[in-house]
Amino acid sequence: MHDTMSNSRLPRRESVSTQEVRQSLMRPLNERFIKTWRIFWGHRLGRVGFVGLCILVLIAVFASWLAPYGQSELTADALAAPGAQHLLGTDHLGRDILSQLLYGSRISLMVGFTSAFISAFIGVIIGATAGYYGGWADELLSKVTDVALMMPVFFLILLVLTLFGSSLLYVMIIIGFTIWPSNARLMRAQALTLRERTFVKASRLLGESNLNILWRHIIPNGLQPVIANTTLQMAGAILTEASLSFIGLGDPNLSSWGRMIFEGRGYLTMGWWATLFPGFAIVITVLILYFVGDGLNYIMQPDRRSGGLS
Amino acid sequence: MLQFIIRRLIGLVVIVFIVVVLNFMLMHLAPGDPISILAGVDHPSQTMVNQLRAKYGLDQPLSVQFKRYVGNLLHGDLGRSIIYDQPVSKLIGQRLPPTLLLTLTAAVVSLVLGILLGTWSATELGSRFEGVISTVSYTFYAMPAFWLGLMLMLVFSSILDILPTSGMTSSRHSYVGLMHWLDVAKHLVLPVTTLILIETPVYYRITRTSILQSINSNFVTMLTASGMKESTIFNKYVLKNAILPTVTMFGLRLGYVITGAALVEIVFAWPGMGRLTLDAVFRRDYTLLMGVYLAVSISVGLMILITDVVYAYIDPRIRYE
Repeated sequence: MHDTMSNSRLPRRESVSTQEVRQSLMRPLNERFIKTWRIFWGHRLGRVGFVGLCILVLIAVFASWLAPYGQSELTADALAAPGAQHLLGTDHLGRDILSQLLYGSRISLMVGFTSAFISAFIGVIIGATAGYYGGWADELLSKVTDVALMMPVFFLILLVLTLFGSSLLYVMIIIGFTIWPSNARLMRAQALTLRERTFVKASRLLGESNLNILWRHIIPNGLQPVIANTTLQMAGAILTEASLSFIGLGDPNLSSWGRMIFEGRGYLTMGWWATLFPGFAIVITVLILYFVGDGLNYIMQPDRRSGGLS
Repeated sequence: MLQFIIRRLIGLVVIVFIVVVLNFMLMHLAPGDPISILAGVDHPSQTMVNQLRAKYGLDQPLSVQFKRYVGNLLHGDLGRSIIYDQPVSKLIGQRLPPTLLLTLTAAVVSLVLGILLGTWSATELGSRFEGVISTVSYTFYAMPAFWLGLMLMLVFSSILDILPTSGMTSSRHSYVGLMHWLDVAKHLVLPVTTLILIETPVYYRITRTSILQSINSNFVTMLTASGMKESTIFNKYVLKNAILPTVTMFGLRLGYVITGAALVEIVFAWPGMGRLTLDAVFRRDYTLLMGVYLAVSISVGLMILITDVVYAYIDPRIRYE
């Protein structure tokens, strides 16, 4: 509607609905995401890793449909070599290796996700608090982080699992509780930078509580390196779980890949397939996670010409 | 410099103290009471119970118990192993040297090899080959150490039969002097190779990345423009700067190398801490396990200390932080 009071030299503006305002604010976010995604997709390793990860997740979800045999199904052929009946052979109890591998992917991915999540949770909170508040909180938490970073945690895990029992839950929790220092360091560095940013200072002036600032501004904006680190930690957690199972401290009721190697070791020369293929599975999974992590690191580099690997 | 070393030593003491506290806490937090944990059996004899009670003051308040515990430790008394029925300190003293031999050899060789490969890759290699080497190194880094050890053992000991399967020495001969060390060396090949294959990729990657970053940095461009010989620039400036992250990483990875060595020791029946740990875990020998944890922490702490000192020697800026 033409307003009779408006100055005709000013350009006429149509009225804008709230809907359109919201959409115009969302567009930068979507555009940024798409732009980041394009960069990620341009990175060869990251691409391979991402596709691999999707395949892994699909395998884990659809394991029961993909596996030719049941999860603990004991067939009559014990220690059969890889062949037509059992594509990857059977173990000493007659369980099909291929099926066990497929079901085992669930355990590995679960251990990876959970441990990494716990580690990220603890690390981000400690790091953000240390970086943002500074002062004695920073000194104390940094010392704690440094000490925890330098302690050889594997033996601590052994001790804890021996004392408390070795169910999968304990394994995931204790791994998560021992690998958080790297996340704390990364988050702290981010928090230190972020707290000097204008929008954070403005929030403080406006009277937002520190906790609110931490939770809504610092942490979400500082999460990027933590996310890249998390993929690496998932890989590490899977390797650690395999190592624990190899010693016999994994969950005895679940056939994780590490447990398969543990059980297969006794008859290594007679049935090498029972040890070889679980190892392959671990290597491939860990590699996929490394690739994804590499891609995520690549997105975050400000200067992509030198130093990157792909 | 001395102040720096002292500060690091204090850090080491702090770590060891925390490990001691952790051991003490876990002993009391775990299901079951400390007596069964220290005795290792579910119904220990009355004499054993009395002995333990006297030594650790188990019916006294926690603070007194802790003081007794630390007092015992300072006297070098780490308790008595249940499986072997010997003092834990003696067992660890026997098993620690072979572990250190394996660990340190692997760590140092990986570092040197990684640096050499990384330097060569950063300067000579074309980008096509670099992708292949990168993938190969990634693959090795992704392997579980014990699995790689098993596979190497399968190929070289079982199938090809050119290297011994296990142990540190031949059990059928007892060599002395040079022959003994040659025998040890022969047994060392497979375990050390396993560890080297897993550790080298880390140093390779870091060295390569940091050399590339150094080469592309401004001061190198300026030096090149000023006419300095390329080899001088590389040897005097680029290398020295690029080495630093690698050395840092070395310090951080030492804990992992010991862990990896423990697992590889189990695979190859190397008479080190790994075997000790395995037995302790299986037979629930908590005293031994706590002692091993303490010993490993001290070892790693010392190695990190030495690495830090070397780092401070190379990079004078660190000394003044």
